[in-house]
Amino acid sequence: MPDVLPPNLPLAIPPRAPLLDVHGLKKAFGGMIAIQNVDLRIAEGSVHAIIGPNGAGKTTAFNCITAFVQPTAGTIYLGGERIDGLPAHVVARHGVARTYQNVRLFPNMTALENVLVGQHRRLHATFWEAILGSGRFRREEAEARARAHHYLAFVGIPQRAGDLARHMPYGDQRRLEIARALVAGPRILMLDEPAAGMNPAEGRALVELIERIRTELGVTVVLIEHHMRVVMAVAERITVFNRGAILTEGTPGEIQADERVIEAYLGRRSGQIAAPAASPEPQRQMEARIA
Amino acid sequence: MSEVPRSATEPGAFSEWLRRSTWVDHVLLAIRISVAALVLVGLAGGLTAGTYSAADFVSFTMFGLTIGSIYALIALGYTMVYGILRMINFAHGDVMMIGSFAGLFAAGALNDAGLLNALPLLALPLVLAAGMAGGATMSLIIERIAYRPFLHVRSLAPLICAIGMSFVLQYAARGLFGTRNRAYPGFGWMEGTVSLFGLIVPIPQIVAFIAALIVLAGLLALVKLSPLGKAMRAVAEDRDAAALVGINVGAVIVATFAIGGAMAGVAGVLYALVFKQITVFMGFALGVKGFAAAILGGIGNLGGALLGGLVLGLAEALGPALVLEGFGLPAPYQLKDVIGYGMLVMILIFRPQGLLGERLASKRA
Repeated sequence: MPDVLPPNLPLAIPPRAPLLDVHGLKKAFGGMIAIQNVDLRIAEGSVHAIIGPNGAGKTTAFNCITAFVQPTAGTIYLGGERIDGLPAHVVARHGVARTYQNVRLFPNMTALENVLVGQHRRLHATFWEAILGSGRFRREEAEARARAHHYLAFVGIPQRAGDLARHMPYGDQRRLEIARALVAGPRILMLDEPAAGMNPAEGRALVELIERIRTELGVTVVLIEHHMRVVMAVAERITVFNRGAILTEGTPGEIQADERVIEAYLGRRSGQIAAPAASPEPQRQMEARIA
Repeated sequence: MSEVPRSATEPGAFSEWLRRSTWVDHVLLAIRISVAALVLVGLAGGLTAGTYSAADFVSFTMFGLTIGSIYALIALGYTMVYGILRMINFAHGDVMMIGSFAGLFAAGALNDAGLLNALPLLALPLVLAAGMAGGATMSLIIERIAYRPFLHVRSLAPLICAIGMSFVLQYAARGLFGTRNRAYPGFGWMEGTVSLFGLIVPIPQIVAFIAALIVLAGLLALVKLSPLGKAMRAVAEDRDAAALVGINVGAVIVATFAIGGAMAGVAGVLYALVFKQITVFMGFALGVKGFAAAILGGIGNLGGALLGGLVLGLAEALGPALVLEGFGLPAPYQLKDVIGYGMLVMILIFRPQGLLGERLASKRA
């Protein structure tokens, strides 16, 4: 894109380019198509939820975007730069951070060390500077520690700094994983079922945390979530996945009113919001039908 | 049952154990007791026989520390690679052999150039550097050819490849360097002995021990302090999660092999200095010793490799005199490997996670 717009074009017309722009994403595992024709546009500074029944391909889409798996087809742009096809650590260095459905911390490191590792790409001191304890190394190290403590406090677990990750309660492990993701200074944070296993009070605290991530840190948030209360409270836009493709996209109000969503995802129209996490249908069955 | 409970709170702990245990537990307990009894009887006999003086035992200890630190250097390579790839690099002993020969050729070249005698103190670091370079290079070549293709494959193939690489190295070296024993040219100042606190100690032993300590300290500093060390720990704990926080996993693996190979190279050079002769087949026996030390300390644990190496070295050096002598065995030193490997078997039976290792019950293993 040119730096300066041609003077004869009205400035108001071009809509702001999305921060994350996914087009035609497809992932096949052998002959089994997990997702196809997935288009996602995540606006900068927004909170965007992805919902859908189990096996709909939500996590597969996350895995493709973070290069955890390589997509079969499609393009992924982050802030105008193409990131599909890059190795996972390079994608992370472009500013994509994520958490996992089943928490993946470094279990035998303390909370503080987990967050320190999250800053890996910020450290520049060389081996010899580290061994000799040079000024730059000590300054970087002190900064890294201060930043780590700051983010532990930000997610609400400052008292856990010295605890081994595997000894922490589940809810705190989830918060620690978010702190580890945030400390790298990402542009976009992808949360995979952050509220899984949380009680309503913890869910409310999570909603508040996501709000603060957006407003105080200015980080765009994409989350996969089954807890409708959480989704409706935080998301500005919602994308609904079903059977490996996108069913629809809209504001929380539009999604709640959409008959197809209610049928595909929430079950029969009974007025009650069911917990779809309990849906027993295994992924393979679902995808066999698409293929 | 006729047994009377000893107290209200503890109703016959022994009968309870008897009820809950199986015959396997009984056999294991019997083994424990008999091993302990053997060691105690041997110790009593050895100490009362008075074949060796106190000074002898101190010098055995010195020798044990020297060979133990060489085992530790080798063990670290096994344990680092295991920590990161969950794989035993069976070619590691032969990497050490290559490092030893690299040192040999460097020492020969320095000798021909007259530098060995002109700059004796500079020559040793140069020879060590050659050994490190040789070991690291060979380790990297092995990683590239034999292991990287299997990085994302869960199978026994890398293990088979490792064994294959071991033979390739041994027989390539045999073809290139010959099978005869080779010796480093004499470093003038390293001939002879020094007397230390009233003990007579060969200089190469002291040099090897100090050099090993320096290298080990450098490695521990690297792992504890540097960003690379932190990245290595992260990759060892969860490779995929490490990649997603921005760590270049491939680069960390390469660095691990390079460091492990360099330390094996140092071990090869130090071994040659202490034992005076090397062969192309030395890698197998020493590799197994290093592997045993890594298991002894707890594979995947750096401190454990260090401890395991020293314990194995000390057991080999002191065991024959202390324990075997007590049974009046002829030539107990011929049996030092019995002690070393006997300890390995005992550890595997009674403490499979090693001295410092953690239980791997539910972890990938």
